[in-house]
Amino acid sequence: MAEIPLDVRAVPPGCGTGCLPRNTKLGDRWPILEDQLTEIPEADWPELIEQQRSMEWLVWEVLNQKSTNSCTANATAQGIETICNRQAKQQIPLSQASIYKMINGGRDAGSSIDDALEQIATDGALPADTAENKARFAHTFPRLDWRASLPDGWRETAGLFKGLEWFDIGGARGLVTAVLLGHPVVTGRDGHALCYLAVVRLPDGSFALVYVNSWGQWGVAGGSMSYGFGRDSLARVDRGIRSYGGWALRSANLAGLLDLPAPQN
Amino acid sequence: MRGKYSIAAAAMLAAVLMAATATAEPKAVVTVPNVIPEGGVAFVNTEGSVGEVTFVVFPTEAAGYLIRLPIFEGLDAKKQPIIRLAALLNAPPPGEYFLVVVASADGSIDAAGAKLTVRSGEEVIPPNPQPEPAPQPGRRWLIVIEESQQRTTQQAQVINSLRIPQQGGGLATYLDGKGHQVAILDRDQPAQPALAPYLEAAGDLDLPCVFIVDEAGTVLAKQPLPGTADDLLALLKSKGG
Repeated sequence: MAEIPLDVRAVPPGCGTGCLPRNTKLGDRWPILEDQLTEIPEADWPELIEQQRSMEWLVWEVLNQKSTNSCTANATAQGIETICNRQAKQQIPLSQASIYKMINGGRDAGSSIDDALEQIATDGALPADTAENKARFAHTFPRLDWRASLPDGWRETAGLFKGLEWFDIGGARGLVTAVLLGHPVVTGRDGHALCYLAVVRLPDGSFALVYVNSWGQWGVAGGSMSYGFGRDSLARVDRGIRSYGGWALRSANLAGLLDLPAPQN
Repeated sequence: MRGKYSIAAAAMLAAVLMAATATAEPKAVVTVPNVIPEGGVAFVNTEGSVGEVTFVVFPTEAAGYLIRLPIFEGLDAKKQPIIRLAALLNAPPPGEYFLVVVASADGSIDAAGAKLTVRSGEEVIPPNPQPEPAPQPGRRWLIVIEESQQRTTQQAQVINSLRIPQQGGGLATYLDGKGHQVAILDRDQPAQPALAPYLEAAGDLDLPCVFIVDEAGTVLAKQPLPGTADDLLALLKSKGG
């Protein structure tokens, strides 16, 4: 896959970025995937890609950070929404701002992915303030207005949307293993956080990783990033992971959303 | 032995035999069953120093065969010799019979006669157990408990197939069409009242496992997660889903 150098002019007008370098070391907070699992060898990728049920299909909305620098919160919330859709069969819009507010130091100056993960693992995320969410949940929050005040007792509701367990990923091959195992991955590149969901094989035989970008629209923007879904080479992803870190979402705390019947026998 | 006699004749023979032995102290004691299943086996106990046992069966209606099968010879709890015999009635229809058993030992004879009822097989021992009735069709919960750290690529495909449609339909399309619910949970979920019984029940199963539950909470299946989406769909359908 042809490399496209970073060109900040390629970021479309009205679209923010905001991913800062990681501020922890590999394995500081979460177990390292490559230590815990055997990486899937490249020779097995083509067959698994053929059989793969791509997690792109689990994305029911593309989040939109607009001009804010909240990409890490968006990519993290996108991962939780994706898992929620699969694990609980529920499509619940989340408030990216409820994450970003807690990690941006009071300024719209971006944030690191590891801070976003810590926030989603500790407090969770609030549902967005849609009419449907307001009718269902005790607490909601605007999608982007991170300056809004958090409602009293908000952690009770946010706790329904926690990202519980993550793998810290050392490189692009680990990322391929993660998505083939059904774990969305949040990582960054070129100052922007993305959520990676699948691996594909290109006509020339090389492999690419499929991301969903928080620019709010389906389709291609041009430049080095796409609206909606895009593809990155493994080499580009490798560089991104080294700078920004990469984490695979293993499990989320969604049980509180489920109205399971009590077993009778 | 084979017999085809009237019940009156059987009773007469039994009375003669009993009278003939009345003066001797019986050392052989015979007990016969009163009820056996159709096509089943009548166990006849003889106790004492039994030298010889003879069966006579008197069907009241249809003919039957009686086959003598010694199946146990040994000592009873009181260290007395015992012969346990099986009398196999060869496919007599359900009905009333009269069974006489004569045992002799050391010059004494004991005879026992009893009305024997042969019940239909379904009443006593079903010859072919009825299959479990199929659950009533309805909406189901598919609850998958896994350890996500140990998920394999094959398991990931099954888990993704619960929500990701495939060309031509597939499991996810079927679930949506029928209104079935899905829950895929890591066993490390924080304890929640609704979830705890399932996590506890999953404790004795290999993970990942699946529960198929109806809306009332009846657990229709609890087993390891099938290896393919097609197998999981077949399991769901077999449980009325």
